[in-house]
Amino acid sequence: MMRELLKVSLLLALLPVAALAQAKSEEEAGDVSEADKDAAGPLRERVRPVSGHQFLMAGRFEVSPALGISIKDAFYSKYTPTLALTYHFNENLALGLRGGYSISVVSGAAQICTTGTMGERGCRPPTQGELTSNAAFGQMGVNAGLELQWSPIYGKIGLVAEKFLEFNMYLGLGPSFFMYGPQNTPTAGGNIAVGGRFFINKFLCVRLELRDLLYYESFPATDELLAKSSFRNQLMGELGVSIFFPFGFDPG
Amino acid sequence: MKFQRALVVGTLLAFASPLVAHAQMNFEGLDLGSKKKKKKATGKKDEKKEEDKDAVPMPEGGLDLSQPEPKADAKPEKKDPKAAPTMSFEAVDVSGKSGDRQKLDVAAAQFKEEKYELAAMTSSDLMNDPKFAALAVEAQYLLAKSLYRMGMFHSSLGQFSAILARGPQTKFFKSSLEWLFFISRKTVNEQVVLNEIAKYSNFEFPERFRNEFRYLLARYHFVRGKALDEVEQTGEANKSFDEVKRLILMIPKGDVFYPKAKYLEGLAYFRENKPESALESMKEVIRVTRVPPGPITAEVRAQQALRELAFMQLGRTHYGARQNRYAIFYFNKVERGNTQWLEALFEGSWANYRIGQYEQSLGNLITLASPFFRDEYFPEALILKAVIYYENCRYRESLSIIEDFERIYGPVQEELSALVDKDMDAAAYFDVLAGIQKKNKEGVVKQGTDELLERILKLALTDKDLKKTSDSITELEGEIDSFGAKPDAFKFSNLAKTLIEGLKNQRVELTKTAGVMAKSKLEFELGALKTLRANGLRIKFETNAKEKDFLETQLGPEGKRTEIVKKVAYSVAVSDDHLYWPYVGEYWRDELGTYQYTLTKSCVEKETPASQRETAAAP
Repeated sequence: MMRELLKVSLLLALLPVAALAQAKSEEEAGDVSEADKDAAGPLRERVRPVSGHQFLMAGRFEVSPALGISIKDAFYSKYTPTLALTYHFNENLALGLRGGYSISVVSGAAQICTTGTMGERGCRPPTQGELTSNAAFGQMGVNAGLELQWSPIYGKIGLVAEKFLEFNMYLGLGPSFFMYGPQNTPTAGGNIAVGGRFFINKFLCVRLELRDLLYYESFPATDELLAKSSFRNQLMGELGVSIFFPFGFDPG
Repeated sequence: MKFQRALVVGTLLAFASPLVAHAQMNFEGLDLGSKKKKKKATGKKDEKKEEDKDAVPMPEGGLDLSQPEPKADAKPEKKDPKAAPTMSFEAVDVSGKSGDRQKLDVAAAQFKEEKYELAAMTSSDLMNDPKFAALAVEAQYLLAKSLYRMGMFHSSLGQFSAILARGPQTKFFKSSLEWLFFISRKTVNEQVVLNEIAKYSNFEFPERFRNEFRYLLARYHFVRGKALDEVEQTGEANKSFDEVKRLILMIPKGDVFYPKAKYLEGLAYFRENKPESALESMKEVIRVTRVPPGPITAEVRAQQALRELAFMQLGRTHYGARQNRYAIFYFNKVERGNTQWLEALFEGSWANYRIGQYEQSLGNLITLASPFFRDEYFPEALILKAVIYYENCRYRESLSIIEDFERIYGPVQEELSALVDKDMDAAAYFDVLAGIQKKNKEGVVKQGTDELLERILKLALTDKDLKKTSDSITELEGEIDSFGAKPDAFKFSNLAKTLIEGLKNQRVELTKTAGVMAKSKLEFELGALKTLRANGLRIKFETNAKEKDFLETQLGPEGKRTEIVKKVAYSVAVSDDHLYWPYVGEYWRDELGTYQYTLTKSCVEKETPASQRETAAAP
């Protein structure tokens, strides 16, 4: 009986030893987990988001006539015919040169309110002359600029599940040159834009853009007016057409 | 009796203590405790021991009671200065260690301190010194471990194999077997380790690795069986596959190797044309490979891959049994974007074709034709497309597709034929493929023959075994190159020279194996391509005949103008949980696999009802 117990106890004693011996080799080997042997990875990691694009811009010039209209303008509404020339280095980056001339007309929001002899209040739209003579801010002439464009988004939208449009969205940023006021005073500033292109065919698209023109207007003191200045934050909405050259592209 | 009881209690108490157990572990063979035993076993003479003891260089500052000889290979500078107090104490040799043992201890200490290059060099010196012949195995074991830790798995495998070749009586036999398992988990092609493991299949493996061993051995027999089948030695192949099933039965449910093992079992049954058993095995794989929520680790990814393969096999088994809807069900289970997805789409196309779901079948082929997968090899896709157009009386389109097929694959077949007819040495076939791979890596722009050869390479690498062997060769080359990044002392050592030599020999052997595989694969694909082109010609002939019949009807005495095709009513309406996007030539990643082609025109009169198509010839 004792002999059997001895055998059992010896056997039991060997168990942890064996386990430890195995643990020892694992410990010595360090990381013994299964390595990831599929170097290529799943297909989804190798597939680009879009292929066979309907529209590609890389290496193409874009000529874009457009019409801009100022938004939220206190004194002058500006209608700005613009022409932009852009070169697309790739699908994401482009450099553009743009120039336009703003026709400033009295804004519908501008009002001159006076009190009559009888104490009654009355408001009327000012005349162009009245605004000019009071050096109202926001009168703009020539504006031109250089911009770097970044187009990170390419997508498509369904219109009432019947019509489908491919588009891209871009951000633009760059320095600008402005001429403002009745004297066409030149100044430098900047512009920042966000826009989208809706592709019609391989070389034509409709461009819709919101642009903020940033510049500083200042009017020196005159006999009638005190000197005044303002940092302008001129928002412009722009609708244009873009024509790409060359007309065709390699779908890749 | 009292003594016996005391012995029992004493033994139990002693082994309950981890400290003692640890000491016992050391005694078990990996480190220090077995020295005396070992000395007895090797039967070294006392004089020799004395010589060895004298030969060991003592560290500076230690109690050097011996008289070391100024030996060139003593390398005292390799010892870690931090270890000096221990060493000086050891130099007194109160433990009764011999000098050679002390040198081995130096190597072991270097290993523990993770100075693997030094440990490898020290143990290599010891191993190759005839004076230390008694410790050669132990030194080689340490060398093998060090190489493993250096990430040189193939070199390490070479050393462990050499230990194993000494036979089971060798002290480190069992431990070396364990290390083979560790290596198999790290090398891209476990086949190189499987061959080694299979040699020792009659020996008892450590309990912990038994199931892994059974699985690896089953895999070995599976590969062997497949190879025997290829050379039409069916009897021997049967034995191998029986062995596969026998080994798998021994792996319990719940073990990590159980799913993989069941998958092999399913394949073995499939080969034996036992679809019910095959299906059951594959369903079991599906049941046990449900991926738990959480991070995607390499292990989880491997599990997902296996699950996917099981779905594919389920689909194929049902397809083979002409249960097309079941087949489609399983092919659709393969997750979009995973490795087997394209195969699933393609094979699903055939199943959809069989049941007359042409729109889905062609839709799947649109995905396969997308620029994303331009490099994938699915020549049969064009044939299927042509067949579907033919079935829908769209003869012009069918002919145009066949012409495309001829334009693309005609030159491939010619090039393939020229390559096979050269009847080169097996290794030369792999060298041709390796040359293309190299050009691909270097980004060389390929033209003409190179472009065709690249197609052939892609084709050859669709053979998983060949791809793994090719990857293994790349891995070996990487290991050879890795010597360049090691410290000079290691890089220019004799050990490095020997190891590089060994790796080059391994490369030669693997290249031969890969060459044989490549040649066999190319021959197989040449045959398959010939068959496909013949089928293409048949379709072309049939299509021309149909067109001729049609024209003759029109030019007949009645001069009646008839139409081959009529417009088919279709709708773009989709279910509430779907969105309709028309395909206009642009491929979006998230749309892949969801395409359905709209057949706007089809035969005026359908000649082949769906029920008859079920029995039509299919792959």
